[in-house]
Amino acid sequence: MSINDKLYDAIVFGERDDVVGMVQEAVDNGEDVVKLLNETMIPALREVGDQFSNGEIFVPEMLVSARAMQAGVDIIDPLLAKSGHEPVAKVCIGSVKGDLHDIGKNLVIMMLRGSGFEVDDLGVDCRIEAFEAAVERGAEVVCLSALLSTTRGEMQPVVEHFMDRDEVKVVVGGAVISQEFADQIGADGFGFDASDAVRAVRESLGLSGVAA
Amino acid sequence: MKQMNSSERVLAAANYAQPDRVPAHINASKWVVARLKKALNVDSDIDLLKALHVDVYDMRGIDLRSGIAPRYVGPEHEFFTQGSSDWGGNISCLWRMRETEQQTIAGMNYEFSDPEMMHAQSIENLEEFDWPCVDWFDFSNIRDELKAYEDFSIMASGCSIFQHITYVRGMQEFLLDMAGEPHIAEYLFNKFSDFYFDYYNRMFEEVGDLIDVFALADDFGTQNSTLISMRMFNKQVAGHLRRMIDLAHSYDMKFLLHTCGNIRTWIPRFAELGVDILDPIQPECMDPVAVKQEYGDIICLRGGISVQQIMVNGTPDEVRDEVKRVVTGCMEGGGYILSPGHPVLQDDVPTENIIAMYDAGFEFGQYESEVARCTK
Repeated sequence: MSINDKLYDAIVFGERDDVVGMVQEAVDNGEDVVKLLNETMIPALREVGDQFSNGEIFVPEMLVSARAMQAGVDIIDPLLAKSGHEPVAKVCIGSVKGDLHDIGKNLVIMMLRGSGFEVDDLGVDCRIEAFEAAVERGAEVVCLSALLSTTRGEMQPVVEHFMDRDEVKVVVGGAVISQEFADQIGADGFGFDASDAVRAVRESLGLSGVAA
Repeated sequence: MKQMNSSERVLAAANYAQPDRVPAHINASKWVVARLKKALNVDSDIDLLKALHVDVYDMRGIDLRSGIAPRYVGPEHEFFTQGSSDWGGNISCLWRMRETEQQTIAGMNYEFSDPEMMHAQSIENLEEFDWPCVDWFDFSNIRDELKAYEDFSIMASGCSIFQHITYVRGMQEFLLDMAGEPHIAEYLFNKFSDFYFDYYNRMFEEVGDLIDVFALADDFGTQNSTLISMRMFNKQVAGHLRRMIDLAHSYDMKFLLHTCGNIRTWIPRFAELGVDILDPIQPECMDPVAVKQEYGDIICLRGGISVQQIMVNGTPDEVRDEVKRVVTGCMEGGGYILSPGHPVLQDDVPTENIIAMYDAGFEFGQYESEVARCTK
């Protein structure tokens, strides 16, 4: 088994210490970290997302894998920046005003970062001003999360706020959100789970749903 | 059919015997309770329950914060008043959760502060939490206070062996513990399970003869699936759940498990563990009528009226139609208790829809007499 296959498996199985060890070894050996990210690490996390969507694994396993992935990305991030590697795009994400739930949002962040996006995590209970500020900092996609029927109504004002700006896309998700609801409020995309959120964000930007 | 009292009605339903009518249950936030009382022109919780034809009295109160609780007699504590039962069974006091009242676009909502132990890295760190102790509580007041509710079927609620851990540790952190640091998860499971077992055992020693149902609330479902695998549930959770079920049965009570989300594939496992009543049968995830058809002979259902969709967005007539569909589809042979698809009605549900729901439940939940059925 090649070192890259072992790294792939370590991410899929959430073996954080192994991921750290192997990524550090790759860095110490002067390997191409952009290639490592795009050809091994991102596809590994994509498989984790697929397994989650297929019901083969559940939230705890996904969290462990994402944590392992992030530990590896943390090592190569400075090198990626130095090499001029650009993220796919910059997005911001927050749970809407009045909603303090964040595990779904955090899973989406893990999948987006693991798919090459730069993510500005705005936290929970986010007012329109927080999303506006993130857009001013360069976010091209505004991702909104809501768990509750009492807070999903906060999504439409955000969509309306950015309605006249074609360069800003709004993608929504959460337990009480549906494609129908997303269409009703005029959102640019809807992701039904963390893995599908990556597809929705990519498609809102005119990219194919899956990275090549 | 002879009219039953509420206790008989609930127990008949839970025993798959046909009661005189479908029993009903309600919990609602304090804002909803206030609106309902005003609309129905009643002052007390008892009168509100009667106006809505509700059979169950939840010992923590309709709003889960102002019910009957043991007196606090422990050390000085920022969440309890010495010698008082005014904490009313509010679990946020037990677990040091600072509640805030959030104004949302749809109404008022409670939310909780950051979990105290979310940054703990070890069991030593977790030991620093101010763990509650059953000796903090004096249960001798409860029997007298329950007398006012003797017309109702009494339910003891507030127990949890999974969800409350996430309030102290954090949902993400605890799921990571379960998958990555199981020794930490085991420590937490044991702390909560031991406390709640002792707490409810002490309560039942005092007033167990007055209680029909012991309810535990742990959300194992998401909108689409279960939060964790069955394998993880069996390995880490099931034993603690079984302990509480056995506690209920040792006092001759029915055991109710609340779990939101799509747990349909887990229903046989819950029945196998001894769960008597399953709540809330979230209809956005699984149709309660279909669930009753498939599992109605192994578990009693409570819930099934959509609060994510129909109760929030529908008209009173649409609510009435849905209640008729669910009640008539689930009531045959007993085994069904009317309740919303999320058991605590939130501030986004219109008052008229709630009243329509319980009126329709009363209207369509009447079991016909043998004569009427035979002459159809």
